[in-house]
Amino acid sequence: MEITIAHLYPDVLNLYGDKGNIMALTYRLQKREIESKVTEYYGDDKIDFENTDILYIGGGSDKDWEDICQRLAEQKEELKNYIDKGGCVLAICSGYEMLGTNCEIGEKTIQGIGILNTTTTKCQKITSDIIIESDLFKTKITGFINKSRSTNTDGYNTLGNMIFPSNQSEGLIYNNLIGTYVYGPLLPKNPEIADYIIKCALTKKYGEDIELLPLDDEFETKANEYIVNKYTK
Amino acid sequence: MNIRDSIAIAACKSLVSISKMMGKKGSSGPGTIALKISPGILKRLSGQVKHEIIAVCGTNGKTTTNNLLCELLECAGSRVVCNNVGANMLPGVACSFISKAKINGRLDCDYAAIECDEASLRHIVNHVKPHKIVITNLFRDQMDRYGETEMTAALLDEAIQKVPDTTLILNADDPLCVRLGKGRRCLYYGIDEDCSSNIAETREGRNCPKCGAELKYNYYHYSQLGSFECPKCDFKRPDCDYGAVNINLQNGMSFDVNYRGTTLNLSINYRGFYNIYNVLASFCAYESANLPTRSINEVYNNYKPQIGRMEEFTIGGKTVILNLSKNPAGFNQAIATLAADKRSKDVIIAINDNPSDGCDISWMWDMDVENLTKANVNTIVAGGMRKYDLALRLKYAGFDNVQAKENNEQTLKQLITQSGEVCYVLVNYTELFKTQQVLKSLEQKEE
Repeated sequence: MEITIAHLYPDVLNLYGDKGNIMALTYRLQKREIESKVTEYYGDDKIDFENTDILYIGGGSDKDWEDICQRLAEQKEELKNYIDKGGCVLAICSGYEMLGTNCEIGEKTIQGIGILNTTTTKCQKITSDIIIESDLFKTKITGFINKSRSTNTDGYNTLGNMIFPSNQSEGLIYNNLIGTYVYGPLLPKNPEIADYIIKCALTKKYGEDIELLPLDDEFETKANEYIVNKYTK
Repeated sequence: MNIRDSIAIAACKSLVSISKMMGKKGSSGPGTIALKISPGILKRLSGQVKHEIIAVCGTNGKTTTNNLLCELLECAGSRVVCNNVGANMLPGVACSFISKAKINGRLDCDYAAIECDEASLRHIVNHVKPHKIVITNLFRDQMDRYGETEMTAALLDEAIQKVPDTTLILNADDPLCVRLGKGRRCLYYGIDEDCSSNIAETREGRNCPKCGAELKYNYYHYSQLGSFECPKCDFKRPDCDYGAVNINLQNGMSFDVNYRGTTLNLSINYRGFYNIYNVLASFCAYESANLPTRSINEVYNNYKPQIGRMEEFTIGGKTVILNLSKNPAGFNQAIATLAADKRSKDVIIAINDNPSDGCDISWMWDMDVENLTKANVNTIVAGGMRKYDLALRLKYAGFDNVQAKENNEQTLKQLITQSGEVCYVLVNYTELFKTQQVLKSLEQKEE
């Protein structure tokens, strides 16, 4: 078995240790003796959706937002088709925002790619560790957020509900796409999400429900618990 | 004599002695009070400096550069105002001038070498008119994730605009520094040769700060430093007024500096490629004041780095090296230094997430930990409050025997008794003082 991860624009979408999400996926694939391949895309590279099993869109700075969004919008149909057919996507921060219809940046409202029917507007700035309870995942999701905008996800399943630093919903799940503001990065200390994505990708590619072997997750679990214990005990 | 100034000086000096007696180092409180009592005091005191005022700023290396500069100036027989306790915002700067002033408001100094926080420089220049401003580099800092490097550059630019006659001393290898020099009188320093055999770091993409196109590099040192050129506009690395060549990093560092048609060899017992920049920046600021260079190697070699800057201890007959890093660029340079040290080594890295460290530790994933796997590491320990995140990072980099432990006396003692020839302790800010105390006491117990 082999899984190909498409890593979009690692030269600019790298604000929050995004590399860690890719490493978590490849590490957990390799430990199960599943081949993993990471294809990095830069500039105007055409994304090979045919040969992509997991698409990763990380977080970048505001000044690059519009440019990246335009690059992706040029392949909107292919991307939409990929998502509709159950292709896996993990989109973080600005990568998540730009999938929606529009987004307020500074004084402007910029049009997004429009694959999700979401809008992003300015909100009070939150810079904090974060804990989320999710119906989909047994373990609490922990990480960090630094955001001054929030995405309205009405009509979609949310990733979960924040229990720290405030009470509100966070993130979105649509088909096999997960979008969220949580970084830290997200996957290393939330291995359940990493395995969920891997499983979705394997199932889609190989048709059957594939059981993943459990791994030694001591550090993963303790890093996750550090955040939970810091704020809830 | 200005009576307000005298009161301000007296108040500031006595508050400093009181906090010293209480075992505190604070200079910002006393400085703030002095400026409240006499808002013009810093202007009047700094106006009495006989020769030059040099401000030193930049993300990394400003403390070392400024301390080196002070050392050079003092060894040349000058009296120098220096804020060498790292008090680099307006109140701290005020306090350091006051500490050299007499109660009658007289200041008898030849030079001032002042380390300035990048965001504070624009306030400091309202009081102090520097003859030269040194900018070491602009890296993505912990803080920059929230305002981004461009914001820091904008704050520095605002400060520079207020002092149009000041000469800028800029790192020629850093595109963001070079951009700040547009249309100004500048002196550039940098590394004039490809040293890629000394460093192996994954590079970050950098865009031209003038037109936005992706910069091309002829060669590359680390972070965004190197010989860059924009393919779309005329922006490129300028020629160096003080350029280093023939760099050799075996047994300390040795290199030649080419300047004003002459060449000087510097052979210094420092570790770390990045220290070449600190030496060059301080040398450029010093030499450009036409001061003698006869005993310059001695001065550099006698300089004791401030705590936690590759600070060496001897414990149980073993060398233990403590280093503070505050951001990914700093950690990457520390890791590159370990990789350049061929000895087998036991390593502890400790990272806290207190507010002064930055609560967001996601940058550890941008740290070049992979480079450490090639550094002849015997055992590796993750410590500090975020030891599990760090252990995870190390595990993913390919270390399969990482231990996560408290960074305390017991752990350090254990680490020192391991079989490596040398021991490295890499920490971030709030781990530093505690760790330094432990290592100091372990060293003293032996004597």
